[in-house]
Amino acid sequence: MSRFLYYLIFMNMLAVIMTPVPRLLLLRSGDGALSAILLSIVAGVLFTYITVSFFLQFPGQDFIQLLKKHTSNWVRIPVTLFFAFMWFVAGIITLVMTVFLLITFLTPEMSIYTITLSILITVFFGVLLKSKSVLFTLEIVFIIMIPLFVLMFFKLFTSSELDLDQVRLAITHINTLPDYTSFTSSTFMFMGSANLIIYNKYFKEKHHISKGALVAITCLGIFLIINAYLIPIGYSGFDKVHQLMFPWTSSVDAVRMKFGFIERVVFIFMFLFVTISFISMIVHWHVAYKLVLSVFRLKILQVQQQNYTPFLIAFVFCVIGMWITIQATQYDLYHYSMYYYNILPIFVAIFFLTMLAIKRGASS
Amino acid sequence: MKKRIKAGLLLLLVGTFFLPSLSGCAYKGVDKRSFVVGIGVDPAEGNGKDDKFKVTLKIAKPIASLKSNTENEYAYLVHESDSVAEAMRYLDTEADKVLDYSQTKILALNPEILSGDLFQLMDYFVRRGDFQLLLYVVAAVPSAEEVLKVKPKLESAGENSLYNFFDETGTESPFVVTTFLFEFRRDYDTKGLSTVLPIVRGEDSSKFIVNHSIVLKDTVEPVELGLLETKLYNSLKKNSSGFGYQIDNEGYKFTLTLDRINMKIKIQTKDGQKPRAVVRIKAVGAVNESNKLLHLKELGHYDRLSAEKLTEEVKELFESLQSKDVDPFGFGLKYRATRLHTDSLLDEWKAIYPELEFDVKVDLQLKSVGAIQ
Amino acid sequence: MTTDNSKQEMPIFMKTITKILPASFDVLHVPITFEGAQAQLLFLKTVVDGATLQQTIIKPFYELADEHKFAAYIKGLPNRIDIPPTDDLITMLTSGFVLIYVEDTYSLLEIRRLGNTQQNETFVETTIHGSQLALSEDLETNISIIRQHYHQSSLYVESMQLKDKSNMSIAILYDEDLVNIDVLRRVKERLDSLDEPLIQSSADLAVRLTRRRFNLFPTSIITERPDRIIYNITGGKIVILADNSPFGIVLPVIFFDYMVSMEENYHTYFISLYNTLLGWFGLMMCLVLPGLYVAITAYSPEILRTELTLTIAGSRIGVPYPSFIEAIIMILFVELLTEASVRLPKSINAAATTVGGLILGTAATEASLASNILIMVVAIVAISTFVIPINELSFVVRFLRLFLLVFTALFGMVGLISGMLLIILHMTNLDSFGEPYLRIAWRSKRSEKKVNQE
Repeated sequence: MSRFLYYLIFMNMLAVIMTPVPRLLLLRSGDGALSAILLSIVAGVLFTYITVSFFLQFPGQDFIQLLKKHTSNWVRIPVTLFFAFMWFVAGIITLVMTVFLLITFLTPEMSIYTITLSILITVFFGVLLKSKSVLFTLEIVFIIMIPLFVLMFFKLFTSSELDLDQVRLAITHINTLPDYTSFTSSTFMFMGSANLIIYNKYFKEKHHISKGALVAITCLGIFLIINAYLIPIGYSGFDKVHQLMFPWTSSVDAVRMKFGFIERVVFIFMFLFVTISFISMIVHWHVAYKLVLSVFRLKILQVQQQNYTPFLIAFVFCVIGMWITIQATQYDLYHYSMYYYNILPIFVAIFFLTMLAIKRGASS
Repeated sequence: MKKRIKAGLLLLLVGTFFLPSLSGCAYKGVDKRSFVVGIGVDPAEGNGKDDKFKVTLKIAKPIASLKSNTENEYAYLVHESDSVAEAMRYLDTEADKVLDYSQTKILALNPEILSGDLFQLMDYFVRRGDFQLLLYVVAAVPSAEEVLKVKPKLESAGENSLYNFFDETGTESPFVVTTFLFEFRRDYDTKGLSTVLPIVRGEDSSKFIVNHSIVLKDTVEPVELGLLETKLYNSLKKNSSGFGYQIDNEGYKFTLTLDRINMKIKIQTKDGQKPRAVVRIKAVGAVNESNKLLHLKELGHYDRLSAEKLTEEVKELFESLQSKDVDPFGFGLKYRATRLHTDSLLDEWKAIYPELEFDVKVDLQLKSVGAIQ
Repeated sequence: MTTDNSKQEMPIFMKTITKILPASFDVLHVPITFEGAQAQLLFLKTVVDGATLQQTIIKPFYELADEHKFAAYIKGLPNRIDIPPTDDLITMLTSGFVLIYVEDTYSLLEIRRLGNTQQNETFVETTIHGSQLALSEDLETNISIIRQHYHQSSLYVESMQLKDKSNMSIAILYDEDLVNIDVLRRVKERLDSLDEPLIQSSADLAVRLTRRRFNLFPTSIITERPDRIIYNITGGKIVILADNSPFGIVLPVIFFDYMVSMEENYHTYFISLYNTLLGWFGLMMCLVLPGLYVAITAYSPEILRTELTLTIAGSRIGVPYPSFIEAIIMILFVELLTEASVRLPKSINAAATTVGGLILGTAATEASLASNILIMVVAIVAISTFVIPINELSFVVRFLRLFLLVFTALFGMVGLISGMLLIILHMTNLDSFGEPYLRIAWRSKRSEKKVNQE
């Protein structure tokens, strides 16, 4: 497996902290979150395995090409648009969450327009990059972030303020039946491999999916999802953790560096969270943009040799993103993102069905 | 063409000078902010109105040159109102600069307002994102306002001596309980656990004394812990260590320093037996002071003497807390965390706790008798 | 020259050697005949000292006018050695040996062109342990210097002339075995399609080689150090030398090439690692620090610990304008200082920096026109700019930190993060002659230098 595939998968896992997933899980901490998480690990790894091994059969081809080659238009266009919608919304959720987080903790006086604009400027350029450049950027950001992540988890685990009894208390609730939303939202964490539908174009060499890779993905996934759920409980208490709007940020604020010139570690982590959400947004919207581009390519926008459709698409993305961020309330964020996670199984079903169709088309 | 581009670039450069005016209201320089370093909440003195709280803000005055100034200067703003938020909003109008709460590290609460449900009082501090969750919550005697106004003699310019008590870079004493805001909230809200606040006593407006503490739970009246109890709580629950454990047994009078203390709690509920809490304490230390000559070969004997005395004290503390229905050591949480969840678990615990028996075992090991026999 | 004496047949051994040698313009085969006496010479013009050759070989040949006597004379020369195996022979030829064929025997004579007297001292990229001499201003000397450093027959030198008014002759050097053909093709295409009226130096040429008009990042390295040129040639890169210019152009480059100081090769592992990290730390410092200052003083003072915040607030007392203006004024001032010290003669330099840096800095804080902390920030920024090994990059960084400053002034802390990402995105999107500009290559150091295709 190419190392970029690992980045795509791990990025989705890390970025989960910047989505409503932890809070959706903590809301159901008393009834069924933990068992749902355990179930989602199995489902997630299975999803990763199937997706990766499917794309390994078609090295150097993205999903758009495969659809064009092996299916008819009436399958291709609706499926592409639906996928584009799913990826676009994934980016929107991260955007809204990031803006809300910043406005609550970092710059409460700043207008929501300014904050959103500052994010969208960079994302606009990021979306328009070559897919290859997106992967390079992902790698660089990843490498810069890894030491910070290690520091964060080290600090979080070794801090004496972490109350292990609260964590144990959360674990005792394992005997409840799994909850649907918790299941779908924590499965979302494992769906980074779905990004292959565009980025597979650059994985040209013939690989095979090794056991070691699968084990590594599983282990890191378990580590991160369990932490995403249990660390806020350990720091903010089991009984009232669901009251926190941003459980991760509030929990990380409990960690301090006695001798650092930044005493509140939360700001280092805020930097981490914001950067990860930036890159996650770019990766998701880039997929959505490529999918839309495969369906629309307006001839009117052809000026000399340059077609301006990509700019239009990215611009429309940003405008919609801006509009939704300004309209949305915290309730909307959690309420609608819950719906989003709930329809993920439909997405997976369609995804697998089209895979089957392509495979049949390819073998005949 | 090229000239036009260059002119455009020049215009851009000039334009950057006017950028701050574009970015609008969020641009607030440090010099236009007043940093609130402490907040005190007292009950209203009630001049006929139905105000509930009196809020005191302690604002730091920035010092231009630390070398030439010898002491800090603070400004104080006081207002009474029905809620904390209202009072703070009003105080905004009394300051010419923006009040910045992001550096607030002390939240002093008058013990009189600590009884009953603290939900409304604490809500504001957590709901506003700009308070740090790492601020120290303390109970202030005689009043929050007086404690905030104390000017310690040893305080030099550019430092805040009240911080030094609680962040573990300055004094580290087993008498000082440190409770951060997030901890306060977590422990207060958890069923089967009570929160403990340090009591800061301001004396002669030039001295702090921090060696008592207070246990809070929404359902019962606050319980004050004395000198010894505070120390025991701190050593056992927070694993803090330090000088000063008095042992008086069989004619020996020791003072011990304990380097490491470790407590393990197990709750045993067997059918037909009274529920028991088995508490195992492991401690390692040395003798600091003694009224008699000490022999190295008898260290084991001194261990036993000290352990006996410690067991007695710990058991006493547990029982007195139990009788007042508070649980700062988290026996209830332990009970909940070691059994698979059922809906009736909490009610069971409520029935168990009043008749819980404590089985304390102290394993104390003295490493040395100090520099002389 | 090689063909003007067609009567004389090239002996077989010499022919094979000629075939192994690349068809560079400086490979010379010279047959000489005088009154029936015959001899043949094979050498590389650029590494052989012409005067000595004339004095010790050619002149005696005509004086003796006898093949047998001349052969005996050659045998007696002190700098003659017997013919080594072919591989070694080739290497020796590239380093200044002359192969002589006379009276059916071969001799090898060392007639190296000695000392490049015009070599300048390094003054742009100075090192402590590395070579202290830079390239000279003469094209042939420069090629000779490179040949002297790099005794490989695969080193290929191509010479060409630019079509502009200067008619500058340039040389393209690369190692035939290592070079990336695609990149070479692109470079040649670009050189052919140049239509600038006047190109005067290598730096000028380097700028014209990129197709995009509005560029911030350079896509090639300008260097004066022979060791850097050799280092890059072994990495499979292409070097362009221009006549009358003491700089070579290295291309294609990736961003990490700019952070390599030649000094690193001359130290032990940990020392050079430390130096590299120091360089990166300096780069980050001078990029981010001004922006960070504005972000912290104007938007998010809560980030730092209380004592530090109050100190900063204290140092800002009385400064009559926002920290953004304060920072931009002081940074522009330091930029002026840097530029001034470049323009000034070396002897006045120190005076300018002292007056500018020390006196104005102190006066500014005394008069409360800038905070102490900012003066420190600006000083750190100025110093760390000098740590960056390649000058071109430090120019870019000087521009970028203004960009980041503006971005931060507009958007606060998020602006700083956003701006940094924007820079990274821009760099990953750039390419240098078809090679990705910013990309992490996970290979050993040696192969990392190579321009690999992916």
